[in-house]
Amino acid sequence: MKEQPFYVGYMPQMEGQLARFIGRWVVALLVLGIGLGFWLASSQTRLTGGFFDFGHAQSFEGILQLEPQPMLWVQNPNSETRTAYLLVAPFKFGAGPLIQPFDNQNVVLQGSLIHRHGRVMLELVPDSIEPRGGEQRFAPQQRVLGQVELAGEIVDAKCYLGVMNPGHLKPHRDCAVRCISGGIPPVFLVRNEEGLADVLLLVNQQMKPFGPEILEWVARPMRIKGQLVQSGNLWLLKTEAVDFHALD
Amino acid sequence: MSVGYGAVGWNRQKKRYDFFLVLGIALYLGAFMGAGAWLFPDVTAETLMIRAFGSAALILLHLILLVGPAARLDARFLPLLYNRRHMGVTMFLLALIHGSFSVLQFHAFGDMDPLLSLLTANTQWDSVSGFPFQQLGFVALIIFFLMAATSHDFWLVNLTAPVWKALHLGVYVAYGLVLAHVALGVLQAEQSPRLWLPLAFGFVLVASLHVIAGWRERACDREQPEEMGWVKVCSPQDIPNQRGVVVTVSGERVAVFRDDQRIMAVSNVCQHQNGPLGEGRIIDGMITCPWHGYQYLPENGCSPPPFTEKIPTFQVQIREGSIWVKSLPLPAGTAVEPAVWGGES
Ligand code: HEM
Ligand code: FES
Repeated sequence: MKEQPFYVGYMPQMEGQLARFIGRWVVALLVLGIGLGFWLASSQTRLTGGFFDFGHAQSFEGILQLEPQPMLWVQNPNSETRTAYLLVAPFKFGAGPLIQPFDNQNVVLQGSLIHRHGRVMLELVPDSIEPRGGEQRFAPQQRVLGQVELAGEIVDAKCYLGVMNPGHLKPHRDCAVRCISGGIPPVFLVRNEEGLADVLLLVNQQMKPFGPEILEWVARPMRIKGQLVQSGNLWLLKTEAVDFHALD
Repeated sequence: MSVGYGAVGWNRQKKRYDFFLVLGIALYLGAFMGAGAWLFPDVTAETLMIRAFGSAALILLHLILLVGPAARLDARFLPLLYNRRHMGVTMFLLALIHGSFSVLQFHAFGDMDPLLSLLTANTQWDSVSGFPFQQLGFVALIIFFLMAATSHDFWLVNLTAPVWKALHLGVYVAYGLVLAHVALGVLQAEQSPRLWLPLAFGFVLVASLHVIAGWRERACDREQPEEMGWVKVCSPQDIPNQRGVVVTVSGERVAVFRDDQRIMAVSNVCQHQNGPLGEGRIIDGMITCPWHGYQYLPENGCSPPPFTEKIPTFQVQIREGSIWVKSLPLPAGTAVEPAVWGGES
């Protein structure tokens, strides 16, 4: 039997040959650690897009609308048209209760921008809404684009548009459940032919927000049948839970 | 060695061990978060932290699971095993940071208690791709917590060795849960082979080293036939001086040692953490455990004063050039006359 060095931890010094053996392994493990760090970090694929201007609120003026989801219609420069900014509250809550007293009023409010690929949202600073005079109530032009059946994934608009990255798919599922349960608008994320994502605001047949029945569908591959409606710059998918079909 | 359970104290080797452990983790976390932030400017810091700490914990868990069988296959790895407990506790802390950040990020600041949300946000138990993976991590974290909390020798003594050992075998359950946690979680979204191949490789490495080490041990577990209450072991010259061999007698592993002319047999199981005494040495006339250096006098199985550990001893005889061991152990700490071998040492 080959004589192997025998080391007991409380001996002060390792014998030279053993010390070299262990030393080489320790160095190899340290190098492996650094290598794995780079390797694993650079193997992630779904971490692009999305912006949240965290901690930096700006003023926005526009007309508030509670349904189908809280939004602020902001006048476009030099134009009669308006752009909808979806509104949410801080953390995992919808803005509904905050804006309810001001439904259909022209207001100035403070909010932090969230945006992704031209879709915009504001995280409302609570108690920052101040009513203004001027035009009240705004009815965006609505165009019904017909029945569609689309494959995609339900996500919460806030995380997906920028608060979390990644803000979709399985790892984010529980968070999206919590957010939608707290009133953040659910959107249907559809990948088109070019792989670019469209987000469709999900509303029920009464053009109102979905209730808890939507939660079990969040972040799963699925198909939805519904009516595609364009409302100003927003795309709505008008549907009911019976028209949800699992693909998992 | 312990008086009470003071056990292995701090010393220079341990400090170096911990230094390199912390250095390795710091280098890994730095590399992961540095590369992540540089390659993906849009990523949030929380995501990077969660991923860096979770993956660091899993890598360290692999190391912890690998040093055991590695040291059985090549005794030169024993120094890495010596302070494995600190690796375990450190791994738990990394996983705790990962889990806490995940709960904060994904469950807190919403309309439900975060822990309740962790357990109820996803209940699609009947699906593979939708399976609730976070709960798996949560159960694994609880197991790691119990192990870390009871890792001190105080608990080894107070829970008794078999209970403690069973609890610490929970690491394999937890390892399985974490593999599922990752495979059913992040790998459902991040499907690059650059991620799942290393995970599969790690699992195969852990499994195969355990199988090989176990198989080697099984070879020595072949029962020797018993004759009138005695079992033939081998001839004395088969045992290098101041070393031991392990034989299985009546289902129990027995370590048979030779110290020059004297042949003695004791239970193979160290009282500290069940280390394999037969793989140890005789140092200063005492059997020294390869794992943490607990010592026992070979002729009576007692640790030298002031220590109080005792292991069972066995009667030994030499007949026609072979060592024979009595198949029934004597109570722990019973003095036995060593068999004396007349041959060259
Ligand atoms: C309360 C306990 C735990 C919770 C809530 C939890 C949660 C999560 C979540 C949400 C993810 C996906 C995050 C993402 O990358 O987007 C994840 C991934 C992961 N978890 Fe856990 N986990 C827990 C415990 C553990 C434990 C004990 C380990 C292992 C030692 C572990 C190891 C990992 C690894 C390696 C990943 C993949 C890297 C990553 O995506 O972060 N987790 N965990
Ligand atoms: S000294 Fe720790 S197991 Fe023997």
